[in-house]
Amino acid sequence: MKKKTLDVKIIKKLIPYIIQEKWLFIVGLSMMLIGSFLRLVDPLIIAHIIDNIVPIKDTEGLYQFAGLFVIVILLSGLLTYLQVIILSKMGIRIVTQLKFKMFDKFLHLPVSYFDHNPVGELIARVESDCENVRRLFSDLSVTILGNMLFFFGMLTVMFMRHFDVTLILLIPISIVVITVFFLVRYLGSFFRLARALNTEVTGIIAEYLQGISIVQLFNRRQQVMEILKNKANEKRKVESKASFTEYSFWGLFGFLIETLFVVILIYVLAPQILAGLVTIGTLIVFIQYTQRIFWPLMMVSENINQIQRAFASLSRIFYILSLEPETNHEEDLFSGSVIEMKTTRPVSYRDTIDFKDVSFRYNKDEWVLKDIDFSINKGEKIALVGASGSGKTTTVSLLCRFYHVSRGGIFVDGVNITDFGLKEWRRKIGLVLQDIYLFPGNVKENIRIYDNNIRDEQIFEALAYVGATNIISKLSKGIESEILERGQNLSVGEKQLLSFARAIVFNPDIIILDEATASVDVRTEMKIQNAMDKMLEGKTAIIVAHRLSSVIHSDKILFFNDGQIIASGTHSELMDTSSEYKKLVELQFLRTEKAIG
Amino acid sequence: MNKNIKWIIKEWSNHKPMLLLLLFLTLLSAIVTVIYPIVVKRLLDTLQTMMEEPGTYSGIPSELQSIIWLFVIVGLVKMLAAAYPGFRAIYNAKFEYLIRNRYFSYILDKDFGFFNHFRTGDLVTRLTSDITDFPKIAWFMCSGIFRSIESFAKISFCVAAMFYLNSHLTMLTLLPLPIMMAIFYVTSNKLHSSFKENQEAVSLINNQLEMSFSGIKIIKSFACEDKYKKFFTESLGHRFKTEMRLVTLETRIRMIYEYIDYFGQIAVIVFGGIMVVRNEITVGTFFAFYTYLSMIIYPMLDLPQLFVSGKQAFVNIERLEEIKDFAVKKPSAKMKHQIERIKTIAFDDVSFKYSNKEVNIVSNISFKAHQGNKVMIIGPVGAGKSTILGLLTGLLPPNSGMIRINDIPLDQIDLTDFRDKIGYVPQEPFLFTGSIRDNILFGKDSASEDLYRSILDIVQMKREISLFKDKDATKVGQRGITLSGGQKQRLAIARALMRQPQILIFDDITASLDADNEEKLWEDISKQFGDITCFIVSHRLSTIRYVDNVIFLDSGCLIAQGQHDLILERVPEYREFVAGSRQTMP
Repeated sequence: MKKKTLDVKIIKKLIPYIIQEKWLFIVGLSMMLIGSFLRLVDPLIIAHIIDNIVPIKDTEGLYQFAGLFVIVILLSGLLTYLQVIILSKMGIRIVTQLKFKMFDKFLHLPVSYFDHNPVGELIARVESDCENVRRLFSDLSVTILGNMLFFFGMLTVMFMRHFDVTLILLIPISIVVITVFFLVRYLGSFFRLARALNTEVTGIIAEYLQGISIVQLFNRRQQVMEILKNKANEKRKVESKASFTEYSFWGLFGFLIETLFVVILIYVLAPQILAGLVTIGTLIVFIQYTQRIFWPLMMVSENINQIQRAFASLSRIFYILSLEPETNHEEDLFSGSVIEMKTTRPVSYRDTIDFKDVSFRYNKDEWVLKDIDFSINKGEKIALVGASGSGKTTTVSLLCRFYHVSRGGIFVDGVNITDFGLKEWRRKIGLVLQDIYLFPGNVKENIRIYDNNIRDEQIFEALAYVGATNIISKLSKGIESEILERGQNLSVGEKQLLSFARAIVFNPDIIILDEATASVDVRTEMKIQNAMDKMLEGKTAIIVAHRLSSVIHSDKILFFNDGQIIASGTHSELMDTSSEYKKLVELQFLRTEKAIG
Repeated sequence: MNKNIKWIIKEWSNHKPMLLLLLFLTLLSAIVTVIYPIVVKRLLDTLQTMMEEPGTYSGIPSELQSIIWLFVIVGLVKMLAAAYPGFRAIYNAKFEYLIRNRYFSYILDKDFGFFNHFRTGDLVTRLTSDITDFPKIAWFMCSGIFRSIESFAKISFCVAAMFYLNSHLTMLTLLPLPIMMAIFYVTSNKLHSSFKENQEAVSLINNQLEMSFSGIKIIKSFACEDKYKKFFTESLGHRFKTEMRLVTLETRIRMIYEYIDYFGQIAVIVFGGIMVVRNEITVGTFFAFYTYLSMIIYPMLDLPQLFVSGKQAFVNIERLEEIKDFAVKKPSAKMKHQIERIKTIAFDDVSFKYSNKEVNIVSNISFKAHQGNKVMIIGPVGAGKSTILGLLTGLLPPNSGMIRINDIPLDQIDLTDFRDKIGYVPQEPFLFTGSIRDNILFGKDSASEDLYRSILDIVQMKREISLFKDKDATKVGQRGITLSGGQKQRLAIARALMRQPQILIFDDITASLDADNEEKLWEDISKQFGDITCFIVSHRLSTIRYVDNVIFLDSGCLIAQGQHDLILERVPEYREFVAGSRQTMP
């Protein structure tokens, strides 16, 4: 019962989309109605020819009805064709809209959403859920509705032509219908199982091929073969059983339709035909109809699963569309209620950024950051060091407002950053991540991220500034050159320089840099170092540091451990004052020095 | 004879009884299908004749009675024949099972030249969808072949029956069919390119989605959400067009398919109708033709389709054979030395290149390591470090030069036995689906609980495992929990140590442990495994302090080897490399 109300809710949400396409909907639907009706007619024409034209040798009448037959066929073909196209168009339009809305929604969701939902899953949602929905419009609902109409149409005609026979036939018809319904359900579970097993088999093959060197070096060939054989055999058995059941049933089913029904028809109708009460045409109509009457029902029962799937997809889509976008609202951590923020203030940044006792945790989990307290003067360079997971990245994420500070606050010239407009604040920041993300498109769009307020000259300037001009001259179409998937036509160093240019072109006041750890050769390393120095010139910089030089050249180092800052100061200060820092440097750096001698 | 046909015949030669049974059922099915309209014709004609003498017959005359029996007999045979696709399906599944197992076992025996040549994803496709998907190998092997036979038989029998009933009408009604078929095929040929076009639009969008979601922080930090979505709108617009083109084409094909038999029937109604009116044929014949026409259309459309899927299956068979035929260097000598204790490992002027490549990956490598040595292989990315390990373990056969274990050439050594003495930790710490325990015990048929615990201790996983809810029964791998890179690599180390190897091989240890814990690891290994020989590829210079010797490679050549201090002093290239590496903090 609960499921029903859910479906009703979904349909309600879907209605506005259908209303937008109401003309396509109405025209498509009416064509379907007429088409279903026309499909009933052709056996009747045959019957008419046999009953009324052949006995009186009416050649003229034959031509007329043959002509009528041609017209009926052509018209029903044309209508079906147009109806499918029109309703598909409606489906694709609605789905395209849903896709766009979902994408738009995703872009505006808070970063934390992406932490909890793997990218692959999100893509699957946009693509496969929408495709399921599309089928709901194009063929599913149409086939189902059309076939139901066809079925009842046939029954009506049969009743009109011969009430008694139809009544008798109704008993075996209902038995067959019910059996088919249960069989389809029964087989459905088998096929689902077979599909799941197929996925498992594929998984086994993929996994052991990926780990082939382990399998070979550990001499595990036999064991792996056994694992595959067992699973594959399980699959084979399920599939064989399902197919055999299915085909045996079709055999029985064919027997019922073609033999049993005809025998019933002969028994009931033959005496009446011989007595002149019923025509041979009627017998032919019944033979034809009994053969046709089940297919629509087959289709319906087969498609019901897909309808359910489409509804499940729709409910997921609408769920995503209902999510709260990232705004200036802040959730109250304890009550969970949303506190409406005051009107935003214009962003101004002149002197300092202060982290005041900033703590952070996801929901009610353990604290990730505890009482982080520091300040940065404008133009300073701060290095964050510490083991991975110690809170460096979270700290810069809070500054970017990817997450909400749970306790305490971040202040710019005394103003809490949550008082600023979200986008206006982020515009002040240039973010360079450890993994360099390149978007599909050309170099230009990658640097300006589709912001057409940024002119080509600015892009050239930025590229020249970080020393990336020769990358562009190497490419055939300059900054209009397409970047291949994942930047395959660029080297690691080149990608890094492009990401610097991207940060520069937006002319931010603050640069947040998560240094890349990828190993590059010495010359590239030098280039990156120079570009980095130039990029940070005159900016306030917060660097999640992986290079020694970044640490040494920074104005202040914040040493993170377990979500807390356990020491801060310049490199030389910290070497004197903090034994932990000294140990870190020794372990990670000086020992290398020593070992190297 | 075509080699693919030979291949198919060979597969079937093991299943002869089933082959004959299926052949029999196929022909039986075709025959009863063709007989059915004749029985209906007899019914109608009999009724017609009876009606011409009104009042003579009543109830169910014996003529009709016998026709009813005929219906029942034909129906029963047909019921049996109709179940035979079930046998086909069972054999499809059987072939799928047998063929996949066989080719998977071939792959397991391949060397690294093979895995360098074929990407994993490609191999998976060849072993799964190439075999399983409709209408590829498995389907074609049984259903495809027998459906072709069935279609061919049905067409021939139907046409024969039609000629038997009335040759004149047969000619007239078959005439429009070739035209209809031509239209059908011209249209379906377009489908492929349209489908491809749409598929490209789909992957473009998926690509955009992936990059957008992975790069969400960048988009947000530059506040470009609204600008960014413009380009998604563009590709959606493009997709709408390709989608509509595809739907239109598909619908057209469906329409032709659904309505094609009506066109044959039109000919029957016009020509047959005239003949009935002129008393040239009976109403029964008229109706039989009407039925036959709808019967032969689909086999006729099917046959060329089956031919196409046969060609597709042939391509897939060739792709499987390519796997089997890919040359693997087999050990040349028949000697199978088993080595008790590995005392020395020597490379003598060893070079290696992949057979499909021009350049050597490594050239003229010579070195010797003794039992208990710890050797670090160092050098820039692509210098050939992992290749050395591949050669050492026999995964890669050298093109020239010789690798000797205890002075015995490696190709005269029983590889299985040799590998049982190796513990290997791969670069990508690959874990298999299963529990933590399954993974650690992967290379071992049985092991003592004490050893298991002490090894957990060495890799410093005890505490972490105790924090998991299911302890060491916690599932890892594709469907298991997500472990950090370091945890995975430590499990991989445990898996290697569990075999109590004489040689321990680390292909890059950087990610697994922080510098502190690395020290403890090396101490424990020395303590527990005494004079174990180690080969370590590492990017972390700090590891140098735990090794005896360094082998420095660059661009496939051995530049220097020996104690770190010594070669640092003597070899300027090494000095430069170390200085470069020092720039980045690990």
